[in-house]
Amino acid sequence: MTGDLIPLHKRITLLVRSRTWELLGIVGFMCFVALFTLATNEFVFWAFGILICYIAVPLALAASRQEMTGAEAALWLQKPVRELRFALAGFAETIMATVLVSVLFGTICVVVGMAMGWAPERPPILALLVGGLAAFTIASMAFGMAVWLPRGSRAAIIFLIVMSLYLFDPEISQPDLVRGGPIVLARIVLFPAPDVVRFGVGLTGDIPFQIRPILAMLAYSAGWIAVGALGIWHAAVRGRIGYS
Amino acid sequence: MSAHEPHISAAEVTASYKGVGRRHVALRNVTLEVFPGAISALVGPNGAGKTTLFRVLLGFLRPDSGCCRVGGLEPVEFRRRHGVAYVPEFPAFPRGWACRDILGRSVDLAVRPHGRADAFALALERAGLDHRTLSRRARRCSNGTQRRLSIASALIGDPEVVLLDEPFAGLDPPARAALRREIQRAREGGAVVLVATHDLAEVARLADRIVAMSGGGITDTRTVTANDKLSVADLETELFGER
Repeated sequence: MTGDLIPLHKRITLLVRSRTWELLGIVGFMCFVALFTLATNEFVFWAFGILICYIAVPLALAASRQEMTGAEAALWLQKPVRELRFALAGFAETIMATVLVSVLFGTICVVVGMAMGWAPERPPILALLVGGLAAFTIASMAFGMAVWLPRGSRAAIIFLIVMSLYLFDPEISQPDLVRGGPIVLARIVLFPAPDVVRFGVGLTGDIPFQIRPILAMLAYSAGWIAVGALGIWHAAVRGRIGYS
Repeated sequence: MSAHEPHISAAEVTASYKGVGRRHVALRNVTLEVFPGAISALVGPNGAGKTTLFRVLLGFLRPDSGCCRVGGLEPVEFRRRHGVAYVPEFPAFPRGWACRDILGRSVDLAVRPHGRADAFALALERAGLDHRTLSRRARRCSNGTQRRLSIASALIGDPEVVLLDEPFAGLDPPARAALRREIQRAREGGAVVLVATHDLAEVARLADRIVAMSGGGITDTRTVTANDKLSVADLETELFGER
């Protein structure tokens, strides 16, 4: 809105600033990975570290239930605002902050990696695109989870991502576990890791580029956003706003 | 809003919280009418239901039964349309936000763009914080400063309904006097002011009406006239039966 005393860019800056310790933790982790990579001269660790950070950044920036419907939210929700609209606007700001921090972080990682002697086989910009979409998906999951779970939403998301990698990775796939009905359920609930891989591989030209993985990731994200919106609506209708 | 019609009315309101294994009933058949341009003090022991009543009036908690109206609307709808000033007993502020940012954001949410500069200046004056404190992160400020910030933030936009939960706790004498002036100014502006407090000295000074609560219900109401000279000791005896 024009004329805001705290405009959008300031709100995004405040959001990032409020997560200083989490983001410093991610930077610390990458410093450790850099040392390990230099010691072993195996840049697969560096690439793996970047992947982990692309998961960690949206989790760090995601709003907690306390911020969306808890006591902190009561500070803003006493003003003439609608809960759902306010929460969705906050989610949009989180997405913007996530994309900005992810792209900045990825760029720094690529530059630092190249300075250490890393020569990626594919143009790193493609990895940034894949990472950006994956980060958006994880931020959506965090929105949906955090509204319903008072605590442990981040752990639950990590569980869904790890389970997805475990069940869908062709090298370590567990076909016995995911046949018939369970595979359909797993596809709906678990993080769409196969689609992230297909999108990435399609970008590099190793397989023909398909729009379907992108649509699948967007649909999955939309599902979680709907879950979050339902949670906000439920909290407002049932009268569960402003609790510590 | 007519001074002869209640701005807030609650009829037989019962509200409960979900507890471990069973529901905890926090309000029992509360019937209350509050008129504009008056200060009502809610007094009672801890757990009497004062804060729960505020949550119901804010539309943050839906009553299990009974009817509650604020300005003729459901409390939640009134809050969404007009806003309600609410100072919780324990204010919670977002991480990393400075006092100035919180006031600025509150102005953005409560006031139309053309009036924001004036509203922000008034909020700064009400908060009474120096330049350095305004730039400090709210969570790192003292309890008294946080309360002043919470009060200044709540009063932005001059809402018609003002709910203050233990607003005097942790305030120094000048800040108490300033808050008293703000409460009286809100009353003169025609607002409905409800103050939940254990501070009977402030009740004696400010209240036009005293509502005593205990065990989730209203046990006594008393209108204070200009001729009444209330002392804290008399109030204690009258409301709680002890001296």
